[in-house]
Amino acid sequence: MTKIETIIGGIYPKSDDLRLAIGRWERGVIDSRKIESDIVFHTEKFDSLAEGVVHTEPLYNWYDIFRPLISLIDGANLGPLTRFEETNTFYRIPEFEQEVSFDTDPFIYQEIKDSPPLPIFKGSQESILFFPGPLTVAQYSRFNSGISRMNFIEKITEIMSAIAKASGKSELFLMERVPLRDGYSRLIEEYFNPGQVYLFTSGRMKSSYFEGQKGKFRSIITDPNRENIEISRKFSVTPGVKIIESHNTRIEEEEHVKSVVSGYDVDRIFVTPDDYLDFLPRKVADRKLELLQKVGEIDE
Amino acid sequence: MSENRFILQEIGSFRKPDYLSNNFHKIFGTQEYFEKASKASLETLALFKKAGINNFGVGGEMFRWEMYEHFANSVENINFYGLVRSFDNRYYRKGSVTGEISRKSSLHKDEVEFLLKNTKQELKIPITGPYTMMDWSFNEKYPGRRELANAFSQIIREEIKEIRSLWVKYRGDQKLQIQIDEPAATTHPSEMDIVVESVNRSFEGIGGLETSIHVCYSIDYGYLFNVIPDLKVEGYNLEFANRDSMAPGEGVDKRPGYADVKRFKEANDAVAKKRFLGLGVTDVHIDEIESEELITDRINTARKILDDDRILRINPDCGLRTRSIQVGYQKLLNMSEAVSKIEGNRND
Repeated sequence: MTKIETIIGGIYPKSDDLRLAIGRWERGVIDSRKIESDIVFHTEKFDSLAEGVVHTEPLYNWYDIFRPLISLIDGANLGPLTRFEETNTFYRIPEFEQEVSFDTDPFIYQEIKDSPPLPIFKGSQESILFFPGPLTVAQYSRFNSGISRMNFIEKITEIMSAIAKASGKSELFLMERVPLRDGYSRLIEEYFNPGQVYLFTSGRMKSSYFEGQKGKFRSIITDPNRENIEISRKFSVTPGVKIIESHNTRIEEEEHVKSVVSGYDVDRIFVTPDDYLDFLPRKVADRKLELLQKVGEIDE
Repeated sequence: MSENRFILQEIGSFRKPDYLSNNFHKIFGTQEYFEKASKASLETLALFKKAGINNFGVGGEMFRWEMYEHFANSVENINFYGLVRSFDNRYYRKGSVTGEISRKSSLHKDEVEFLLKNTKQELKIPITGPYTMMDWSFNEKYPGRRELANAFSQIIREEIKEIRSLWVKYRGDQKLQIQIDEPAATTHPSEMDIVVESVNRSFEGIGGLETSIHVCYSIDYGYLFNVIPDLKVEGYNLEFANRDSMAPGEGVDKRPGYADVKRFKEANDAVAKKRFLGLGVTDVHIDEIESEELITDRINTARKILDDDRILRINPDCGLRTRSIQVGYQKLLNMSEAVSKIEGNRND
């Protein structure tokens, strides 16, 4: 029998009320203090909505998965709007012109350019932290030729670690949208306790990514195939599998989830969407979340 | 106006007057909508004439809200569940294909018929392409992206056939110009074969057409140029100004946005029947009005590369709907003045 747990991470679609409020804030009709309190209110509401599912904050103040993180970093600029992967959505490409440093307090109220105000996280008690993975930040950014990618990846991981420590929270959802690299877990172990990290991965998994790892990840979430799950099982406490489509409005059946899970030889498993849910209309995302709540009650 | 004059064309949309845009959704499909869209079309046609362009498109797409939603509204089994974020706090309506799609009503017949009755000018009918319709929809029904794109082709083909029947009544054997709008064409480079197949199917078996494709803000036009031999269109109306500098000067070293014209020529030279290039010379995303001199530099840069004025047409990068009416008009006017200046100096 497999115990199913569920998790979602990343930006969640806003309600119409919040979307319209942010529009009013952008036009200067309401001030930044007001939009901050609206975002906090809706973030807390989301905690109730996602009850029973491990979740990050909905990141209603994040205009893309790199903002406002990038806005906090000295040496980083927001570049032009750029197509996000092969989607019909766009992000401001982070541009790094010098070695990065960080001395902004991300947990105090503060207005910042081109984003709703800080703090970076809104203090939801029920949620875990979210960061784009360091390899993902590097891959989706532009660099001045003088900057070493290796050094950058170390530095950005260190910055995330500092923010995580300052948050007082321990668990973290780390979203890598590119293939990992050999020895990846050593990078994470240097700055985080892997046992508190839910690592969202992309593509085919290799054992070499985790060689030399001292402790297991809380979960390694992978694309659904046996080889990936086997590696995830070996290197994480509870393997995770992406089953729910984040880029399609079709609502999966509980039976479908059960049937995929039954193909893996595991005692416990995390079921998750294959991306963050902000690519969907809010109404559809809510139905997918309900589905996760239902399957989280299943002992298959 | 000289017979030799370049074709100056609108790409599609132009800013709607407030009396139409303020309650477009509320009145859509009613007599009030038809009357207001008609009035706005006549005003826009007059503006295009005053600006000196000589292909009026469909009068600025006053009958359409925007390119995806207008099409989707005329299709059976596309449902809208809500808004989807595009960037920052900007959203759009993305439909879900929940069953086999079919045309429940004509997409553009009212608009085209109105124009045919009210102007003798050259027209060019933009229709959102099958690949873009597929890419911008959630697919809950079809087994794959190719199948859905081809289902949209079938709808477009029916639409073109209907427009063609109407066209013949007013314009006899004059060719009907159809522009397939495919902004998504190069967004999935591995699917260029689907773009080719679905666009080609949209025209299959229909005679009396002059066909073109409009693509803008591509990550790499090379993907498009590679399929020139296979894509059965006669012209490519493309965005260039957005990627160019605002500093004056001719030649690719001074006009970086036009470097791809060279790649177009190389690909075009490899086919027997030359395709025309609709050259985007004014950026539709900025209010700054490009000077006649700058536009002249852009056109002359392309002329030197192409070395054949017969395959060159002039247009804005894309539809001007995001600019004010005044800014849109001024951009078209400067485009036209630049062409007049070039015509005055042309020696052929």
